[in-house]
Amino acid sequence: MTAGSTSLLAWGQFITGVAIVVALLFDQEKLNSTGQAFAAYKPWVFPLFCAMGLILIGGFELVTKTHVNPAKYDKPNVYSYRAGVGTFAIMLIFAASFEILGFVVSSFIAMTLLSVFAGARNWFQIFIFASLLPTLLYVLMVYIMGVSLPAGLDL
Amino acid sequence: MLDLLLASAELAIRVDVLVYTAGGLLLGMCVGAIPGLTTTAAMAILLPLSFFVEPIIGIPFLIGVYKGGIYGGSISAILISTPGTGASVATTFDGPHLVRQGKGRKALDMALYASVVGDFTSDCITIILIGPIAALALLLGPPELVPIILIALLIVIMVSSSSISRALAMALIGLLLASVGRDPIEFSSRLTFGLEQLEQGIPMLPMLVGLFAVPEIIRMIGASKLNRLVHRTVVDTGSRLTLKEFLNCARTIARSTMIGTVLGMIPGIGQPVAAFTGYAAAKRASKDPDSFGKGALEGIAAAEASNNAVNGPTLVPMLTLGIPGDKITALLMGAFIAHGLRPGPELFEEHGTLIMAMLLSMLFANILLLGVAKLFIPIISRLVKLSPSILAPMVLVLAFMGAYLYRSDPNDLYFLVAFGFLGIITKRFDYDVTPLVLGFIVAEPLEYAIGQTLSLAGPDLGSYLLGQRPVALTLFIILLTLLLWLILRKYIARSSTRLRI
Repeated sequence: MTAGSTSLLAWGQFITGVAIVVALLFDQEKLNSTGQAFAAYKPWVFPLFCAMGLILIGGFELVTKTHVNPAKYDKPNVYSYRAGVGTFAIMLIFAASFEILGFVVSSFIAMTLLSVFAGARNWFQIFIFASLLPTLLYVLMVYIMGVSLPAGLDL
Repeated sequence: MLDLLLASAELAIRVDVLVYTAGGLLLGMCVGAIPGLTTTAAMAILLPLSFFVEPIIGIPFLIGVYKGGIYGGSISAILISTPGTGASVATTFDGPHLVRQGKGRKALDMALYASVVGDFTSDCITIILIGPIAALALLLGPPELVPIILIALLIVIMVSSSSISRALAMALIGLLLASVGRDPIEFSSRLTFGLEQLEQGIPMLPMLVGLFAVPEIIRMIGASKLNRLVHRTVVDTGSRLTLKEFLNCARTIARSTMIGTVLGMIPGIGQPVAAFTGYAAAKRASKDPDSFGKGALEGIAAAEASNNAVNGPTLVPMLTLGIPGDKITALLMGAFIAHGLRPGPELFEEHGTLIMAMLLSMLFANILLLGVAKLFIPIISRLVKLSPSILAPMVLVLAFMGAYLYRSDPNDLYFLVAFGFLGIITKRFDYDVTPLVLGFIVAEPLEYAIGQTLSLAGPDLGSYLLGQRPVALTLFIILLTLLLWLILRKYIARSSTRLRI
């Protein structure tokens, strides 16, 4: 991790805070007009204070450069970008196919992809594991615990 | 009181409650023993399973996962020198040495007995103390709750593993995330940006699963790619622990239990700190301190008794004030809320029998742990060798299933992915998510208490506090002192160093 990426995070905090303040200011009139139960309290006050706090901390980190401490990040990195990008791509495919293909099929696909991505090459083991676990979970949840999980296309 | 205890005991010793608790213990032990899977992630994944049964079954099941997980962490810490959880880091100082000396079985036995004794004793203390604390908590009104919640948040920020400013930023992000959707007083919609999916607010469970489970999956993938998870064979574990060896450590176990119990009641301290403190105290008090770190059974006893003694007392601030002290109690609080039991001062008044039954089931869980661990240690010892290429896909499917089961809403899966992304960013850049989770959970009661306080006080808050709420005023003064200390402590430390020079 570089000092640049940490200052990006400090900027991120600062900008998020500003964006929320702006959003609340736009909504202020609407929020003021709703409900009169607690006249002394307005719904925009609490998030506004939190957002202002975030702006202050982001600003403080940028000004004092307390976020810049490259020596601290010399530790080995297991949260690599490659592992992250690959896993998130698989998770998005899983989320998108969850209802369409159903729990068992989408889980099979996601598990196979992730196993291969993690370096497994024993196809028989991958196939058995990726088909057995989702099927067992589906049976356990739907037929034993009576919970609904998506069955997928015409199942 | 006796009637309450009897009625609660009747609930707690139901066969189904005991079976689920034992199941939770076994699952927790498996998870704790697998390096790369944390108890927190397992709790997050298994949380939805508890929703489909009565609270008296679901909550003890999760408590079982919690207790089993903390103990399970010691198995891999002893056998392969890899702590399964942060709580068992101190166990790695002596465990692997004992394994190399052919005393692995003794180390595992000592870890189990010290864990059970420490946990059981601290649970008894919790049960004795929780009633009076709950009665005191009932005297607190909204004006007192505001500074109490803020003080707890501040303590968690102060003991956070990341810097103060980062922990503070995370707490604020948690409070802001909880502000999305309907506000707790006027029920007006805010910060939804016109998105219908945000009207009900951010769902807690997909958020927790994303924050805790997704970084674990990516860590496992990253580690497997870098070949960092070393697979070693479990060596010959040797002979069992003798009664004499156990009794030799009795004083250490008693001391560590007290340390863990006291530290457990302070929000944010958690098992790792208790384990290190217990270990250091045992070393200081030992007749043979040089043996520590080279294979001392006393070292295992100290670390395990103190980290397990934290389990019960962490529930005290959560149950009585509605303030979770760490990630795991935050998850447990999520389970309580999902079951319609909002932890706080009124919880004992409204659901006294049920809560006492849950506390008693914690005691029974310790006895069950003894049996479950004795039966399954040989099998669980093999799990420490499980490959991440099998583990990561398994966790992924369980995480997605758990997030979906919460509301049967496919949109929650996208929340999971989004919070997974946030989780990985926080891990990568050393931001601690505990203040975020705590902020998210306490935001609603905090905002509600602020609204009520302002309404009660009228136009002059200062005179209201001064004239009618002296306890609240004192708490606000403590809060301000803590804040000032937090801001000025660096300067004070710097000036005192200069004076010494």
